[in-house]
Amino acid sequence: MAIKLEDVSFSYGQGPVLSNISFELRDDDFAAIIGSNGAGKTTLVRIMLGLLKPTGGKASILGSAPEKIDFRKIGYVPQKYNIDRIFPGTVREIFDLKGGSKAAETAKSLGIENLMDSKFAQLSGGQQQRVLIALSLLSGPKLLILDEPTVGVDAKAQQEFYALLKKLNSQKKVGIILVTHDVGMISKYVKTVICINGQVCCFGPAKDMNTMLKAVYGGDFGVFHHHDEG
Amino acid sequence: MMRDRMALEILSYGFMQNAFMGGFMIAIMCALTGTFLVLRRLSLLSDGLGHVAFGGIALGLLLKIDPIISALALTTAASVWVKKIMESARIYGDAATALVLSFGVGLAVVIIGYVKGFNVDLFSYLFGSILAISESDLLVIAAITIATIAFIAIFYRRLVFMTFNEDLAKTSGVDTDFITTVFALLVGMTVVIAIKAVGILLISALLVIPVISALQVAGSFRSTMALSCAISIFAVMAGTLLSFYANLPAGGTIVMVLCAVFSASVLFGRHLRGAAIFASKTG
Repeated sequence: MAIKLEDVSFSYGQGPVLSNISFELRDDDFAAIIGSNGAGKTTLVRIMLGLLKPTGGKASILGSAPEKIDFRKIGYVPQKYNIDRIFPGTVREIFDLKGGSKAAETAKSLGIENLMDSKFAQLSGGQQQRVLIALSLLSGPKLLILDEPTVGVDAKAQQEFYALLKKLNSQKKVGIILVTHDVGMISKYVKTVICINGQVCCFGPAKDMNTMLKAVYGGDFGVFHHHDEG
Repeated sequence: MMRDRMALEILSYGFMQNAFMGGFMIAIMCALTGTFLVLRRLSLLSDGLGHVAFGGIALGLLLKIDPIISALALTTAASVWVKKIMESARIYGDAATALVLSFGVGLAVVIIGYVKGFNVDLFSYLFGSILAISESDLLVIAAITIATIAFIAIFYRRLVFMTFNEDLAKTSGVDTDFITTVFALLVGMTVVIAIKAVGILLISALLVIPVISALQVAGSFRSTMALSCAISIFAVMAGTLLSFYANLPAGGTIVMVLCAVFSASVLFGRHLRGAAIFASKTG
């Protein structure tokens, strides 16, 4: 299993943020975690990664406890705006942080080989996102965890980004877990949806998403797609 | 001819030789640690620790031990304390810095009030005196400079990773707790040693201004560090020389040179950066 959570709970000290979260995700799953602001999505991801210890229950990632995982098997893409705009490092220097010999090949596959000597902070949102994905792929991970990766990225770059994730999932069998508010992309790319609001509201295949969205956001919430012409 | 004779005359003084050697090492040490402090938004930590050192110096004078030793002990303890406060009390670095800064000044004020005889000694540390660096001071400065360079050389990649994004570094297997603790200790020691050059009140200038000047021009992380070192060395040397000839306080003169370099970097940084990019593209 890519992820196995058993009754995971977490509190920062003032009331629970997460209560009794339980679900399992397959190794080759493409899962989206959705939920309103403050629902605990990022906290859940941090528990999966071992950055936070659950106050109750048990988490495992690729069959290991999060704190014992071989970090090369996990690729993590943090929220982009957590990276300072004055950071002076170039893309090449950022790739050097993980070392390895795959930098040139990975940069080429993501179309960023011409950005290697540019400063990361001066790239566009879409370019920065590609660099972060490339960085997460350098160690050849089996599972990619992304926290709101398309915030501040334009629509065209978002489409390219999701297509890239789908390709990684279908061709290279990389498991993907994505925290997102972009519910429009789910039916097109995602296999499993997890709706949380402090606890698991719904868990199931992406085709049942409209039912799940009503459970999370209430009312007549749903997603409708325009059919492309020609 | 005249200028050569003046240069030789300066170097013939033992105290000037010590000032240049000590200043050179302090400049490198401050620029290296300052790069990570500034980029991790902990610029004011140096100021806070400088004020803790003030309390430590007062404590040393009270207990009749070497004030630099007591300042080193208190400042290194405070640097680890700041990290613990940020984690356990869940507050930001600036608030934790304000707390230790207040503690340092409060301690010094209480000691000054209790013992009324050593105010002159204590205040000599506030503004520093690079010309008073002794040979035994040089040994301590050299030891801490070597430790700083060795730490940064060994952990360079991990330090840059943590500066880029700490969560990303942790999830890539970097032991961020260990590195943060050792780095905090080195910052504490750097601050106490740099007091010799610019004094407690101007300590943050030597850690911060070379880095923010370099950031206006440099095109990479490595070049930011290298340029910070060059600016820091230039400012310490030029400030010391100017202070010698113009009979001005060395600490303040060094800071004035640093401020001039920063102003120039802001005014001309864009042009220099553009020229560097053009040169790299045209080979």
